[in-house]
Amino acid sequence: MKLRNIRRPRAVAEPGPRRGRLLFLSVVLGVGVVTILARAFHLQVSRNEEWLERGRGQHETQVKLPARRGDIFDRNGRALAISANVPSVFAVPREVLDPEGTTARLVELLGVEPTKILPRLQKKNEFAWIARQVTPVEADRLMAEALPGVHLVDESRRFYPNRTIAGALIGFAGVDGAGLEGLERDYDRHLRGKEYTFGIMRDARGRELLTGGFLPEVQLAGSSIVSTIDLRIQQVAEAALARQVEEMGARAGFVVVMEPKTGDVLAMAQTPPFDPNLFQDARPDEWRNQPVTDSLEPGSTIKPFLVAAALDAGKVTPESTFDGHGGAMQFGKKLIRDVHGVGRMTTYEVVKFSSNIGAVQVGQRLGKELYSSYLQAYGFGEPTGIGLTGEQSGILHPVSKWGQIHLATMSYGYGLSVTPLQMCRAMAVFANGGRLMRPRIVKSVQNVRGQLLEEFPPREVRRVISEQAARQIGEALWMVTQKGGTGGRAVVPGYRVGGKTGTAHKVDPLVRGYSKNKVRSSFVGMVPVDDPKLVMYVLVDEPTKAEYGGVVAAPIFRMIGQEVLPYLGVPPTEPIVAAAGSEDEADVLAESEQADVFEAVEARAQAWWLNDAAVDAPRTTMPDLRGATAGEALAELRPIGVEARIEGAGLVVAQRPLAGARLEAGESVSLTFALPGEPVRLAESAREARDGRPAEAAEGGAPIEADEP
Amino acid sequence: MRDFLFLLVTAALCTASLLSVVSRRNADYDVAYAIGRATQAQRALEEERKRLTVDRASLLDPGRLAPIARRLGYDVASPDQVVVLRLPAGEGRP
Repeated sequence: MKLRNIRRPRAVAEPGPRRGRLLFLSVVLGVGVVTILARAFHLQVSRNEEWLERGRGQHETQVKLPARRGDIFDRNGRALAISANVPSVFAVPREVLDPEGTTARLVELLGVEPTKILPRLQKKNEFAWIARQVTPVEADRLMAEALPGVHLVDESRRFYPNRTIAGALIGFAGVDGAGLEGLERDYDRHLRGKEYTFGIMRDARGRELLTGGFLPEVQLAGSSIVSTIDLRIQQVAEAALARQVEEMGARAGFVVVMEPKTGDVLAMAQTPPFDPNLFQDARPDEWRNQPVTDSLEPGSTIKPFLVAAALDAGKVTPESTFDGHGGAMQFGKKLIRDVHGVGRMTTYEVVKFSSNIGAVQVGQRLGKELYSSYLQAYGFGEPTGIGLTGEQSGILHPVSKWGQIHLATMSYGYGLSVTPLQMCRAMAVFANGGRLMRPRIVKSVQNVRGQLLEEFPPREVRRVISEQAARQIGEALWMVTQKGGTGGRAVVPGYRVGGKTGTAHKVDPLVRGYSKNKVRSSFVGMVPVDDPKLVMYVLVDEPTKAEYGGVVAAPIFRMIGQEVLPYLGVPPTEPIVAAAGSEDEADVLAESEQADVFEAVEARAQAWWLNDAAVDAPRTTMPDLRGATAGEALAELRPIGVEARIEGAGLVVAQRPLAGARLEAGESVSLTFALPGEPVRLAESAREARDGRPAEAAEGGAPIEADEP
Repeated sequence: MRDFLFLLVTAALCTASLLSVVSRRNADYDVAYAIGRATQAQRALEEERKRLTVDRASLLDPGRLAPIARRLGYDVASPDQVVVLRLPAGEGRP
């Protein structure tokens, strides 16, 4: 059957009402579509920016990432200052449901002041600090409480892990991370780094999507600086200084240790010490870096500089002699005295016997113009250029204002003032063949990965005296430490030491003149004298048990030298003999005595691997664990068989029971740990355990140091 | 029929490309989440490292170590214990 040519029947026209409904429906739908399109156009095009902004506001947040402050290292890469994040507590007061109850809990958990906190929580605004830089233990307790409206945020905090060691030199950075004192302030532009802002997108569940790119830490973190300080030498210098200052009943003391060939400052110690972790508790005069900010009359330590100048200028020779006038010489209206009067003395003996009378005569031969120009060449009267803020120039009056009496008094160290750093640097001229170096405290700047960014090489400033004059004055300085000299107590067994003692009376404003009993005792020297590796200046302020520099300050030189020289690997230059016990005992010991002394030194320095002193007998009493690590503490407690409850991290700052208490096996002891500088807020039980501690230390802010025996 | 098939294929292609775009976007979000998590983990690890650095530095404090060393029988080396090693010219440190 063919189906071709069959036509489809034509559509029958819709009846009237149905067609009308369709038309109506089409119009309604069309209007709807147009409305939707118009609305879409309105939202997507006309108000596009506004809605985009609102959307971003809900999903995106701008995060400001403050740069981590760079670290400060010693010359061997050991940390002197480090930053790490610690939790801080803040509140959103409008979210706080019960301000009074919340305040009470915060007081209990954090030890904050209720009268300060409650008004902040009652203000109903967006943000209020509760406590900044709390301990991790406190943060954990707070998190466990889950107080409504109270939150934690990480803040960067500066730690000084060596506590008081080099404290005044390093200085400190404030809570906001800006350097306020010392190296922290002077190198703030390197340490600070750059703040970086980037966007983060969060979804409805608060999950984070990084959308603003990622900058490596190397571009964000501040640079680190490598100082010339040697942490070990600094610690030895501080310990020796503190011991002698205490033994001599002195008010204060300074030590500067320098490497003469480079001008590197290896140690800059002062006592009383300053802990930058607790800078808020210290007075401004305690954090002053006194070896550069304080100038003082040098007394007899100036004499080698005078004699070296005269030798260099050819005004005297080593064979020149001077009349000792029997210990008293009238100079104009002034009577000049020597402690030990002599008849005649050579140039070297002027230094050896520290003769004021001899020094005045050397000064007269040199003349005030030449003496003044040499003093300037040594670097007195001008900043050393070390780059530390607050450095003093000292006082060196223009030669036009010098009279003959000034030349005389300045020949034995009165009428001018110098800083300890200037004095140490000037002594390095003799150790360095007559060349003056610029002292260096920072060697280099490096990025967070340790890559070198900037280097500060050693810099020679000028030649001051000839090599021959430097060698000659070195011999004179060595004689000071030999029989009959004033510096016998500075002798470091095994090394030839050269140096000069000084005892300068202090100006007493009450009597408008020099005090009779307040002195500054000092010693400046170098070792080994033939090829010096160390130059040191030591000063003890107002000693009460003795006053001569040879008795008060010289032993500090010896104490530092005998620890530091072997540490630096400096081979001995002399047979090893004991250090002198008194001025008279400075004599080289007789051959027969040397063997005994040598044995004593050997016994004291017995090799550690032969020593079994580390094996302790079992205990039944509570040991003093303060300052120990968790591992050390547990190792001590394990043999006793007690159970230790540990709180915090770092070193033991409190223990219960106290040291010496009898312990039974199975008993429970509690140990509280903290990092240096962390404010320690002790639990009531631990607080009770700290008998004899100052109340304020127990309440908070007690440093680890305060807990050490 | 042919028109219907054409429409069907077109609709399927559109759906497939839409699904592809959506799945691609989801994959992008997954990567973004992973980056977010990794960044947070990295920050946390860096913080931990810094804390450990502080801890280590405080344990190495020479003021703390010196008395412990003395208690364990260590002492300062005497000058005669210094041994100077002379290396042939041109040889660096071992």
